[in-house]
Amino acid sequence: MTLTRRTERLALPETTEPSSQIEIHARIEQLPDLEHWVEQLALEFLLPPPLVQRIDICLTELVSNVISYGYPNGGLGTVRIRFWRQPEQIVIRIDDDATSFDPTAYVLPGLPSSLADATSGGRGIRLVRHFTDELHHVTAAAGNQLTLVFRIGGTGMLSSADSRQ
Amino acid sequence: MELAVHEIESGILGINLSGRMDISGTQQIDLKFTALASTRKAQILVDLSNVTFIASIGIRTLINNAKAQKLRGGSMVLYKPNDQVEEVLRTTGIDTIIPIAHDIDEAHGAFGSP
Repeated sequence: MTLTRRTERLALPETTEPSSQIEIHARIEQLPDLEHWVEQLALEFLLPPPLVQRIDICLTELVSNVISYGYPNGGLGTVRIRFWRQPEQIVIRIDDDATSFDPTAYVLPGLPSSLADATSGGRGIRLVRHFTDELHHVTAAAGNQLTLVFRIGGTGMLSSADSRQ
Repeated sequence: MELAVHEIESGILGINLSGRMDISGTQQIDLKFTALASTRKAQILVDLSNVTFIASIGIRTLINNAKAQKLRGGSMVLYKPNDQVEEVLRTTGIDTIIPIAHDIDEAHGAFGSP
């Protein structure tokens, strides 16, 4: 998996129309709409179930984070998610208007060694890094732009020897 | 999400969870799950076989209740997660702090271990 922080936009699908997109308010009540959208993508683009699960968990974790922590001063944010079906990979781009947060730079806490040691932070980001093949973050003028790449038939970090670090 | 409870045998309480353990799903079962899983000492077998999806919020609920149960002198075992749910549990290291069992003998062994 590749983690990057970029100051310029990733030269990926910016010039092509997304295969599908959704815009939601940054509210917990909107998460079922996101789930439904992913189900529709699976049907429309004939995505294999393991890939759908990877996309599902990454979007759930990342959008939940934006909703929970992205607007500390209140206000109703907007999250736009675009999906590109490419021959070898799926590219998903999440644009928000939330406070800046770079999940590629987040330092993961170590895995817990006992129940008593288990803290509540960092699991969502760990899952996103595990299930994506590439993850890119840009601090945009309005908020954040995250780009997730899922190789078709890939397994994220599963095949990597350091997947449990 | 839905939650059903049944006494498996003396001393082991089975809690069957089903559905999608995301934010809204976890909120639906959290209070009832906590009341069952951590308010009195017991061996809690959490049947995950009908859980189709688990996010970090769901993991947090499992950990909080496993911690509380351990403080009461009991224990918790996670039972028969599907492959995707198990991968999420293993990726976050939960399998090393709450045992995962795939059959009842394995569950007995896990309850028996310190």
